[in-house]
Amino acid sequence: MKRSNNLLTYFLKSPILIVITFFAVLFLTIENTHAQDLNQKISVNLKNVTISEVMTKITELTQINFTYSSTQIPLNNKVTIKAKNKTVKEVFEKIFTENGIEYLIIEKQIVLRPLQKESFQNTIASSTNSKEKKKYTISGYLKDSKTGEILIGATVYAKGTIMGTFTNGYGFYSLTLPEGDYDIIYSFIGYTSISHHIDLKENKKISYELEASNFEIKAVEIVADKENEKLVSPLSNMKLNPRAIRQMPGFVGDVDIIKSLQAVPGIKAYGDGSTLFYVRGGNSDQNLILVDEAPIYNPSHFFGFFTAIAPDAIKDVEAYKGDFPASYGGRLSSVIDIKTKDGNMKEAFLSGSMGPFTSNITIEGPFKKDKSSFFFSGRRSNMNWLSSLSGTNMKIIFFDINTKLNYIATENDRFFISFYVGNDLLSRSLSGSKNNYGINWNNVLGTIRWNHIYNKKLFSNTTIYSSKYNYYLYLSKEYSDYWNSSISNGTIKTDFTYYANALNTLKTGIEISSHASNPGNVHFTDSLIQKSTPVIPRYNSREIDIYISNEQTITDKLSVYYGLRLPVWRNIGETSVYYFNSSYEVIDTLLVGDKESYYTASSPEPRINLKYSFSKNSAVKACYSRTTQFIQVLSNSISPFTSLEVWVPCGPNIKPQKSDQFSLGYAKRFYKNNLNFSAEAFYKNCINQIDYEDHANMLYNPLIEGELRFGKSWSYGLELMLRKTEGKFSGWLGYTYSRVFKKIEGVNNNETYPAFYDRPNDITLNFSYNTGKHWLFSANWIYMTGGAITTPIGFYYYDGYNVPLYGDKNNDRLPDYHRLDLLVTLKLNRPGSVKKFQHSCTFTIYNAYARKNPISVDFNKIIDDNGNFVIPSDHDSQNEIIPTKISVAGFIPSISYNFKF
Amino acid sequence: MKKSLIYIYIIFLFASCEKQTTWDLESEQKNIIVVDGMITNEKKEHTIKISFPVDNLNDTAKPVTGAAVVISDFNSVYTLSEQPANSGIYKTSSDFAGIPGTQYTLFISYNNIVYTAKTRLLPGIDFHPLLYEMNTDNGLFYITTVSSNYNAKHYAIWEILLDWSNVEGYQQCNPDSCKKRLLYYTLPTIDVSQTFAPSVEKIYFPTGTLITERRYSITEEHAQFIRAMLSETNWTGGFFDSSHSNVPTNISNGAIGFFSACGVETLYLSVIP
Repeated sequence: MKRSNNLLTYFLKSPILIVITFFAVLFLTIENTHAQDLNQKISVNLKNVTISEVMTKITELTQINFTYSSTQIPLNNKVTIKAKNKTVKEVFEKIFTENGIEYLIIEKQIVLRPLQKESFQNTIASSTNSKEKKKYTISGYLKDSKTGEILIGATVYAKGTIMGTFTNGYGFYSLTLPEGDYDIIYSFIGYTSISHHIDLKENKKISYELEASNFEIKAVEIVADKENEKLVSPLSNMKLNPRAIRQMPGFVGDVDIIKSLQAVPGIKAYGDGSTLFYVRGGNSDQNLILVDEAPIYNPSHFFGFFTAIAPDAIKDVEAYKGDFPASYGGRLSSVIDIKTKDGNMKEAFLSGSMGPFTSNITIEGPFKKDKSSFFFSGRRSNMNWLSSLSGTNMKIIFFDINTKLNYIATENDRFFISFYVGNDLLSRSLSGSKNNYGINWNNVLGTIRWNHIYNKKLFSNTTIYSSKYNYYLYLSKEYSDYWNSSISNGTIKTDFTYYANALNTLKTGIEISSHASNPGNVHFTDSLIQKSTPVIPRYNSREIDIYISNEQTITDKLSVYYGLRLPVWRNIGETSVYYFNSSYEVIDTLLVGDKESYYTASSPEPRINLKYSFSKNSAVKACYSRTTQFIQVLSNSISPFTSLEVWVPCGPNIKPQKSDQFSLGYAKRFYKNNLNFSAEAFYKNCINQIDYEDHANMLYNPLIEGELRFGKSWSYGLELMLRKTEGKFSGWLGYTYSRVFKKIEGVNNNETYPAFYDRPNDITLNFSYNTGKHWLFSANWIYMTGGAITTPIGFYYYDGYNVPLYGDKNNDRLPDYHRLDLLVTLKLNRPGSVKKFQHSCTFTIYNAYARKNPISVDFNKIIDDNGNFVIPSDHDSQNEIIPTKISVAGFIPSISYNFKF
Repeated sequence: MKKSLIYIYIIFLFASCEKQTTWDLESEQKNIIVVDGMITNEKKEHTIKISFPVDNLNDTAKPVTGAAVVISDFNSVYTLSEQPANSGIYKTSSDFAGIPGTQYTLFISYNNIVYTAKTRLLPGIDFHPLLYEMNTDNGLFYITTVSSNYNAKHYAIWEILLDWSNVEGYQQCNPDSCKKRLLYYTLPTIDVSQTFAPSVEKIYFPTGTLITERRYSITEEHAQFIRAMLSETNWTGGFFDSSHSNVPTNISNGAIGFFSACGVETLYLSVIP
């Protein structure tokens, strides 16, 4: 008994075993339920008999039953079949498919019906041989019927064919088909699909408005449509809609896009209250976060406890982990593409929420119905009550504002202007004085976009954007002595999408950017001090990127995406460039004049993926992508919180970072297409990776590039995900096993070591239950192996200090991380209410079982007279040093009220 | 500044928690010596302490005894003697005083290995006295400002000796409990972990406390050593830690620690309300 208890305890404590068992049980139950009969082998030898007789024989041999309409199925057709030790599936192909009969597996029954779709060969022939049939193009936009918001990534396809497409980032689609009759299906996750019959004899412009399917909220949806087999996709990219994000418990009740993404396999969170994340072994600065195409450099509020983008402003989020389209570049590990709402084109709405930590308000509506609209969303912190609790006159203020205007100028032209500003200020006011101490950072982004349809097949988008990130650490009470770093860029880009035919979609574009960064300078009001402080050279760079890609359907089972991106980077003056010898001492200084070029780099980036569909419900995908990163954060921080950041470009001392990623994925749907399983393995090799000299001086150092050490990193892993997207009960289970190692010259005695964000096992479990009336319940559980840390192998005493002595880098691990978050939403309107005024209450618990997940372990504190852990001050006393561990964010309940009218 | 940032902590980490823990450390055989030595321009016995590292926190360090220790300034050689015997503490004669601008070399011979370290003695610089304030809760005083943490050119160690053993009402106390030695620093660097360092033990002292304030001028190499040591001791355990690694040294042949030479200036104060 004791032994079995021990085994049970061991089992429960081993998350890997639980996951393996879960997936094993799943395969044994679901997979075999549907496939076992068809894979059994039989021998049949029948000559010139009816199909009906063959079916009777098969039923005798296999106990498989058939369901069909005798008026539709040619049961009396004569066939001859000679099969020895063949699978039932092979026999079916012979007798059914060759006789124009399609078979489906429904509820353990074999359902027979006439073969509806055209054969692929006919499709190819008709779509490629213009002499036989003329081709015409259907194009237009898909929008939400209530708001007029464009729908991104919606599916448009001709029923019974393999020909289909998605709406692009601006809701536009173009589908070229041979002349003929078609049922065109328009569908989008969370919306009711529309079928439209057309007799295609000419080019048509068809725009539709899809109706959202009530309060039902669907979970995170991979880019896939269960009705169209060619769209089954493994895990390389993920799509989240705001309704899905809204049902995931965020920090203190705030819906949080970045933290929602951290629950996706392959995207690893740092820990409590952090927006830092690590994708497939990449560092946190290797993630590109775009808001309406402009990069946001620090997406955090309050050190990372909150994400800087208000959830109410988000329309669509797409996350790429490895399968990067050629239109994206500039970072090695991921692209998080966030599109904000355009504004309701139909009617004006006011919505908002109030909670103990933040409040927000959103106003949107049309200037002119279906022609132009505006969107405004503002969020502000309400956290000063915390300073009252602590008895100080501290100020904690953060806010963000999203605004957007959009205008449909003509049938072929549309304009968007969007603006974002986010600001954080943590300061302390001195009584009777206007002076403050504190920290301040802000992001400012502005985008102007122009969509233009040249013709039914050619769509373009031209964007001008600017983004700036500023960080201030105020050193003196006058608010004019400060350390400041910044990065900014301005870009103009044009993208063209050419819908060549039903089987090829070409994209090309060019992007021209200007970057400027201040790696950190100090400003003192005292001119004497200022004179003696060094000036850190600033950086200016120019970048041109061009790309071309094609998405091609080769056969009904095989499709390929291939593309090439070519970035060219150039650094220009005015600046000072220091050159270092092998000992990292300055050997030369180059003074570069204004606009003078001193460094150029380029790196072609091929991208390719092949997808093979075994059936409607399963596909395999192989990808390769090369990415290059020319700009990076220099920081040797191991903190989970965003702190003082120094962005610098590549140059004579810093080579561009490059990554080659290979991945192989498999996706399968089960159980009436309601369960989706995906698995993806990856291997990523990165060169010119950066680590730092021991105790590198990163904050205020003219020779900061001499503190860097270079080498390579490599990571590999397997990501598994099982999810249920339909019905009242939805959710997913994800498991990732991955490792990431580095080998850097001059670090860890040139030996290999794990990165501090190396966390081999990662489990995410997300469940939602929507009663459909008033209540929505949701739970999110995360488990991760503890992060790698460096702990001492001994100590020595120096002038009263206990100085640690270290062995290998990252030789130890923090305890495993796990946390449960809960969310309950109560919709206060009556079920089915059509009132414009809608309101609800959301109750969340962050870290429901109050797990203390440490972020660090330290060996330097004593307990003072008040029982606090403090650093000892007296260097002559014999203090007993105590090991301590620090955790943040314990059990945090929160309630917020949400309204819309 | 510091105080305000500590308040930021309290608020920022409204649900944070620090707890005592036990932690199994990998211990490795460490056949290395630790040198802790400083000479100044003061005429007195100067000491070089030599010890071994320890495996665990709070273990007593074993002294390195029987070493031959000399200091040279190229013109003269000064031999240090181990006092008391087998203590690992090596002392110069009481009439030794370093000369500003002079380069000194330390030689330690132990177990047939010679360890050396070079340093230059920088002249002392005059300074303004520290500032202190009364805590209204207990009527005692605490130090508010010693000097700026940052100076691009002039780096320093500030040693503050507090002594209230002769203050009325404290004469019966253990004299050691009425004496404190505090250290502050002015360095040519600004660090995130320094700015957001953990709370430090607060030392309160009564009216009449005698304060000895010493400013030690230090070299850039010494400042780098101190910065690294503080990164691994006083500045670690905050919320913006940087990656950990061994503190550098100016001792050769694999020894650790630091040998320094400093010009010293001193002020004496008495605490008044």
